[in-house]
Order: sequence, then C-alpha cells, then structure tokens
Amino acid sequence: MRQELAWWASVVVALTLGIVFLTVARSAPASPPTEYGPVQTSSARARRWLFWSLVLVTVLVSAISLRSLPYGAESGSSTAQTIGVTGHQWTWEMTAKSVPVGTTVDFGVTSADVNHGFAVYDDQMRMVAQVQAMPGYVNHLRVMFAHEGKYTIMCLEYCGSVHHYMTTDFTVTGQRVGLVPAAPGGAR
Amino acid sequence: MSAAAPAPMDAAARRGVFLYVATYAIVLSLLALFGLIMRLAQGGLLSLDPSWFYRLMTAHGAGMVGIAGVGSSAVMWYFLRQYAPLSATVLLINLVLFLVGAVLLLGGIFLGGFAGGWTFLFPLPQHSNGGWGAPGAAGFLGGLLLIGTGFLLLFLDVARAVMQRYGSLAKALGWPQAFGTSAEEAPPATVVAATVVALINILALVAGAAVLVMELVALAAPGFAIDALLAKNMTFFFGHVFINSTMYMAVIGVYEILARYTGRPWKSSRPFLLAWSATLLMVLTVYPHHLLMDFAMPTWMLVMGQVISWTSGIPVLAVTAVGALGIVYRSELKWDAVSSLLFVSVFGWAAGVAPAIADGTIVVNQMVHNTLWVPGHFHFYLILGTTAMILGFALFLVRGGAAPAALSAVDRATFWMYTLGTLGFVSMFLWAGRLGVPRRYAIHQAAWMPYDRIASAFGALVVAAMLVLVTRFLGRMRSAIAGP
Repeated sequence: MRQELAWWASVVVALTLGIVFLTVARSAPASPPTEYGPVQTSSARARRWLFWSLVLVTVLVSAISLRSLPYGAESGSSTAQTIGVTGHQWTWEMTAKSVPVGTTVDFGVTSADVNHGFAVYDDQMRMVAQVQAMPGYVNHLRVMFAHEGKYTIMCLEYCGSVHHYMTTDFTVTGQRVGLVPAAPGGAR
Repeated sequence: MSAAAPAPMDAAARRGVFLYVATYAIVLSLLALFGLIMRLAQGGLLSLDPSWFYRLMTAHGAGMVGIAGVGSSAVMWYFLRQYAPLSATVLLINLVLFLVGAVLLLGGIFLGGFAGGWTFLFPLPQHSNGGWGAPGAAGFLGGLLLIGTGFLLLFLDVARAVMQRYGSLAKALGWPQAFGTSAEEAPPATVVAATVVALINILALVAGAAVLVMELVALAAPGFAIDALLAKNMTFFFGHVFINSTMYMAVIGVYEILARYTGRPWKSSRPFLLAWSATLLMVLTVYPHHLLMDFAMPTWMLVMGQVISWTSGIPVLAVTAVGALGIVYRSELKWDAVSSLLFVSVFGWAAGVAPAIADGTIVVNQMVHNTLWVPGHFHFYLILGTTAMILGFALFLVRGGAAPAALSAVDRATFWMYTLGTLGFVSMFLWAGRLGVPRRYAIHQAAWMPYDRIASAFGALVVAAMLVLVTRFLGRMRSAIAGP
C-alpha cells in the first residue's frame, strides 16, 4: 500500500513535470522577443505558489505519517512474543522459527559480526517489515502475523560475498484469526 | 569587498579543466559499462561469478561518486574562476591525488579482491569471512582517503578564494542581501552555490577521512573496535553530503550556460539566496534518512531525517526548476546538444526528488529500504540530472566560441535515447523496489529477472547515448583546448 502510494506519487510528479518542461521547451519566442521582466514576475508568482503548496503538503504528510512510527517496540505491549535474532555471515540464528497465527512478535535483532538487514517477506515475496541488524545493538521490530504460511527472512544489508543467500524460513501456523491492524514495528 | 580581481582563464587552468572533464568522460563510460554488466548478470543474460559482481558493484559505487565529484567540480571551477582567484595548482594536485587514489582503490578491488561496497560499513572491510584480505581493504580505504584528501584541498581553496574576493563566507553567501538591507548587488549565483558546496564538503570530507582512518587503524590493529552505529553515521554523513554536492556544483553549468543561451541573467534574488542558505543547513542535517531502519538511533534524529527530506525538495523545485523554466520560457534559446542536456537535467533533478522524498518517509522506507527503489531514485537524478549537466558542460567546452549549431538528427536521436533510456532504466529499478526486490544481490530470483532484462535494454540505450556524447567531447577536445 505504502509502496503503491510512493510509486504513483512519483509517476504523477514526473509526468506533471515532464508536461511542464515540454510545454516550456516548445514555447515559441514572441515577436518581438518577450521581455524578461514580465516572465520574471510570473516566475516569482509561480515560485511563491509552489513554495506554499509544498510547505502545506509537507506539513500534512508529516502529520499523518509520523503518527505510526515503527520505533519503540521494546517499550510497548508485554503480550508480544519475543524472538531473538542474530545475524551471522551468512546465516540467521533465531530463538524460535514458528509462531501461531495472530501472534504479535517482538524480534530483538542484532548481529554477531557485520551489519545485516533483517527483512520479513510473506509467501508472495511481498515485504512485511524490516530492521537493521547491527553488532553491539539490539533493534526491536514488532510484527503482527495475521496470516499463516511460510515467511522468508532475507538479508537487506550488504554483508559480503554470500549476502544474496543469507535467507531462512519462518512459519506461521494455525487458523487465520481475522484482519490485523498495523502495529508498531509491524506492517500488516 | 576585496579588491582582488578575478583571475583570467590562463592556459594551465584551461588545460586543467579539460583534463578533469576528459578523466570524467573516460571513467564515467567504463563505470557505466560495469553497471550494465551487473544488470545483465542479475537478469541471467550474462554469467558473472558473485565475487566479481560485488567487486564491480564496489568499483561502480565508489567510482561513480568520485568521478561525479571530478566532473562537477570542473563545472564549478571553470565558472567560479571568473569571479574568484582559484589556484590552478590546487586543481591539478587534486587530480593527481584522485588518479593515484583511483589506482590504489581499483588495485584493492581487482587485485586485492575487496568487495565491501562504497559504504565500507564497519566492520565489513575487516571481516570479509574469506572474501578478501587486509591488503585489498587497505588499498580501497587508502585510495578513498587520498581521493577525499585531494577534494578537501580543492574545497579549502574554493573557500579561500571566495573569502579573498568577497571578504567573508557570509558575504559570498549573500547574507547581507538575504537577511539584511544591503543595497549592494549580491554575489553571482555561481559564487553562492560554490560557497555552499565548499562549506558542506569541508565538513563532510573531514568526517569521511576520520572514519576511513579509523577503519584503517582497525584493519592494522584488529583489537581496535569502532562503534558500528557511529561509523555508519559518519559514512552516510560524508556520502550523502558529497554526492549531493556534485549536483550543486553541476547545476552551476545550468545557471551560467542557459543564461548565455537565452540572454537572460540568472540573478541572485533574495529567494535564491535564502534557498541556498536553507540548502546549506538541510543537506548537513538530513543524512539520518539513510538510517531510518536503525531503530537504535535517537527517534528525534530519524524524525528530523524525514521532515528535512521533505523540506529539502522545496528549494530544488521552487527555485531552481522554476528559475530554469522562467529563463527558457518564450526566450530565443537555440536548442542544441548543450542546451537540451542542460534543460532536461533540471527536469531529471526535480522529477528524481519525488521517489527520493518517498524513500525518506519512515513508513515508506520500512517497505523500500535497501530494495531496488533506492538505486532507482538516485540513478534518476544522477543520470538525468548531474550527468546530463556535466555532459552538457563538456559539449559547451568543446564548442568554444562557435555559435550553437542546430540539433542534427544524430543529436536528437542521442538526446532521446539518453532521456527515454534513463526513464525506462530507473522505472524498472523503482518498479522492482515497489515489489520489495533487494538491492545489491548478485543472484536474482527468476521472478525478478524480467525487470532486470527490461532495465538492461534501457541501460544499453543510456550507455550508447553516453558513449556518443563522450566520443564527441574527446574527439573535439584537442582543438578546443587551444581555443579561446
């Protein structure tokens, strides 16, 4: 959903700018040539309008998007099941490899060697959530698993010559228990 | 204001600028081919051992950042020299250090086997798990340190020159006009942009050099540990600022050349001065948007990273894009290879900002961080923005004093190959990123390969167009170098 929004917003911006740039590029020089003064006045007006529009969009997007940050999972609900995750070149060590459907998991993610990226993909290989795995730090990622199935853990921080094979499975078992709201650190 | 007069473009200075652009043109072509090879390999169209894929990736990433610095600093230097007494000696010292550093860096990669990525995140260079040894890592890190040192000298010289000419950095930034009531004419757009670049790069290069030295010490003394999160902060502060500065240097070509083509001066208006001062602050504080998935970072820094990602797009769109559109609208600009590339480069910069800002939004970043979305957004504004600006400048240089020639059929074909090729190439990155395809994977799953193959076809168009432009520059360089 968020990726879709990002994609379409990028397409709309690029197309709009493309049309504007093409229109200006194809604008015929006036005869006699247009004085730059009136163009500058129009540009200044456009700049002011664009500036305040962008400020408004920034404020709105910030107000909405900053309300659901993935941070602070470690200080949240104690009902979450904790699973320790340690990245090694090039394997994942996890204290549990499966949970019942409907479980909220607090992944405590760290690394025993270099930087890794702990990313959870669903059985359609769609991104569910991710966090960095760093030596010396434990990053807490909270995910609510709403659907049973086989999930794939992939490394998303380049960690050396076998980085692309640093994957493992994670299974969500049992009955599906309805729709799940997005939770801190989670994505579905 | 200082009485020091702007130095004329003497033969040594002119030769220096041409050397920079020639180096840029050759290295750019080679590294672009590396990039194409990687996409072909990911698409299963070419067999490439993963260890070689990651070496090419490291060379492509580090090399493109460095060479963008070379090309864009040539643009800045060429035009700034009109206004401030820059040192041609420092210009050449930087190039020599760059070339020596590049040899070390490439030796580290292709002889030493180093494949730690341009980010060289601690402790990967020291902990390859059999991938490469200390000599390879030392070659890479030492080479990068030499390159950074050369650029640091160059930007210190820029700061010195504008202070000598304008009296202070504040005056060179136009602060008396932006924040005060000075009736004196503000410094030219080139001076303002170059001063911002010098200030941000001096800070960034010192941070980059510090982390490189720490990494080298850790390589020599394995017991020496660096805080991995601190090292990451320093790397991304350096990398973010430096690569953004290449855009800020290259855009000087747009300010200067489009003004000459249209006969409409690019004035340092108050909004322009304020926008560049805002950019100065924002580019230094926005880098935490590279660490949005490092939950151990202070939350306020990550929120700051998001908010400033959004606000930093405003000067680009509201000042530079609107300025370029206004200067061209209904003007008598003659379209040739130079003006076409410069004009489209502003589009590339502005349009590339949208996916970049999306990536800088925390809830989106959690879905696209370290996926192909990331190279999608930065290839957008680096190929269609910075590179187009530098190539436009290169053709401007070899055109010399001649009047702009009308666009030939070859010019048109090259321009559209470059523009549409880039749009197709980056679209495939962004599309795959939207689907969650990881970046920096030597081996791709079968389901991801169609995007890699389409991207390869578009990438081949871009490389072909790039080679046409580079060949044209190199072919005309010898005669142009002696010109006016």
